[in-house]
Amino acid sequence: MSDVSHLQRQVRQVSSQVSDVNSLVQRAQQQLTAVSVEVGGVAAAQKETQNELARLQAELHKYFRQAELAANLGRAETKFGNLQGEMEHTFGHHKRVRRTATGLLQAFDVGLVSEDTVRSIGEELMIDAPRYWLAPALVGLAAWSRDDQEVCARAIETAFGRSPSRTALFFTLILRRQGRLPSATRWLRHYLDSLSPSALGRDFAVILEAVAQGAFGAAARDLVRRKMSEWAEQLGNDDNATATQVARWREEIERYRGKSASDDFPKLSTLSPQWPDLDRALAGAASQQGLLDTYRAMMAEEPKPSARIEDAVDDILDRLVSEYDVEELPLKRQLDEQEAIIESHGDLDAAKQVAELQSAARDETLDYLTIQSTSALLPDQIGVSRATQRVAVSACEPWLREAHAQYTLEYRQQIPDDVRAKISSQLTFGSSAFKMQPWEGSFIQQMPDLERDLARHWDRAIDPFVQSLRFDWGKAAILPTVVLVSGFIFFAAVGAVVFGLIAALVGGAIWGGLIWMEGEQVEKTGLQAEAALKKAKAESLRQLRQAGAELTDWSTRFQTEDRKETDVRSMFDDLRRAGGGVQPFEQRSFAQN
Amino acid sequence: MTDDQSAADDRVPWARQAPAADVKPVTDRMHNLVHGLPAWDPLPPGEILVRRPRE
Repeated sequence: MSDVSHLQRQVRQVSSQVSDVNSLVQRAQQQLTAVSVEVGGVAAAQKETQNELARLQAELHKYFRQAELAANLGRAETKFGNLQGEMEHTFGHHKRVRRTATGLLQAFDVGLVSEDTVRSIGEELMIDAPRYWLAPALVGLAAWSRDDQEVCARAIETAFGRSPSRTALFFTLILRRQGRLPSATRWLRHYLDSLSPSALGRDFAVILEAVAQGAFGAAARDLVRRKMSEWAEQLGNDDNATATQVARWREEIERYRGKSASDDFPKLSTLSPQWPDLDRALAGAASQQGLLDTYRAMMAEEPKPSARIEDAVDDILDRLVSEYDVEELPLKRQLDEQEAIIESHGDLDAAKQVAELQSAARDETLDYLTIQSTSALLPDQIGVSRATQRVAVSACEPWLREAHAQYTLEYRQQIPDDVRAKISSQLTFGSSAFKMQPWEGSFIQQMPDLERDLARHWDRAIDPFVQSLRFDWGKAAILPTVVLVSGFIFFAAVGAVVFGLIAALVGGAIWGGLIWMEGEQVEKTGLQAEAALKKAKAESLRQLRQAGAELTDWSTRFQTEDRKETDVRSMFDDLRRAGGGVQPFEQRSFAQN
Repeated sequence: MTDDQSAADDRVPWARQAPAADVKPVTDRMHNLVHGLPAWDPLPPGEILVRRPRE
């Protein structure tokens, strides 16, 4: 009893100790939670500090950036002011020349050139701006308006010596405006002579457009056409350049390639291994009609005259008298750079980007061959009218002709020498598969011969197959005979002759019946297979005849399409002539309401 | 259509792009003829105009 109570005491002690441990664990957990909360607080504070630091850093960056931008802006403003002063000091007289030019152009535009206007433009203007082409050009223009031929000739010679291309363009445009087209054309020749066909600017494209639209008269169009041919010949000496242009025209011709005609020739496309070549050749020949349609329509189209072409030409004149001279350009570029920095509030990268874009747009030129081909093929991309496209196509005629000749030769070479038919067959009858070896025959042979050959091929395949389907009665009888005879011998040996005989007869009758039924079934299947194969043979002969007829149709169609090649070549002659305008006296008159 | 293509389509054609330094038209585009200009025209250097007096 005392042992039990001792044990109970000990259990109570252990229980109280466990309870103590529990409370200790709980306390530890509470402390841990408290620590965890504190750690969380520290982390939040740290994050806040980091955010604060980042904000400070951003503000600092912003402050430095603003300071940098302000410094850049300040420097740019100072530089801009200095450069402007330098520009004024060095080229102030150029500015005066440009102002004078504007006044004179306005007077010419209104149609009233007063004595006062031209009196102020004396030869001293040439001396003030000793290297600027515009000064003597203006002096020449003023001298013309006051009928002073001697001063005019002297001034023009000086202007031409300073800048032949600008002077020639200036007088081309001035004289065109005054309706002096023969003289404008003479100046135009000098302008064209001064250009490099490997680097033509947009002004050339505008002049080309104006000439094509008849703004300079028929003679100017002829002159431009001759110049374009000369440039084409000059640049065409480079084999690569010519090959590139011919390749561009080849792509243009490829656009008119017809679609696959497989649907129109269903049997030929199925039976002939040469169909892909035939199809490509026919599709190639179909482009002749496409070319005729497109370029005849272009020639027949009455070009809609643009009402704005005079303004576009005048824009060139405005630019000519407003643009900076070559020797001003280095300073002008620096001025532009500083101006871009000021406009971008000191952001050097943005300013550099703007300056580069402006410079690229100003200096962008294209070589003549590219302008010509693009004007002819993609007039919208380059920004010229249908009239200019016609002039350009006319100039591109040799490339178009060569590309067309290559193209035609290529599709003609695709026609196979021997068109063949290939027929094979595979059919399944129950557990037996019929497979005929492929037959091939050439359409060069007469159709009856071909048919005979194919029919023989079918027969050679059908006969053994049908034979193989026949029921072999002898073979089927061997097993029953052996079994029944062996059974009869066995029963006879054990003395049951009668029983053996009866059993053999009954067994033989049943087995024979079964074999007969099987034989009938096999014979029936064989007959069905034979009928189906004969039908397939007849069908393949019909398909062969149809393919032969389709080949004749294909040949007729190909010849019809291919014959148009002669018309296309004649059209090229018309295209070459069409560059000269709809009629030889065509020219443009301008009236403003 | 890709972005590049649509950008290319929106692009002003080369021949119609005015240079950045382009200016406002300096004239009102009246296109009038100046009356009273001499009958002769300014000619390029090296070209001459031969006048034959009326007999």
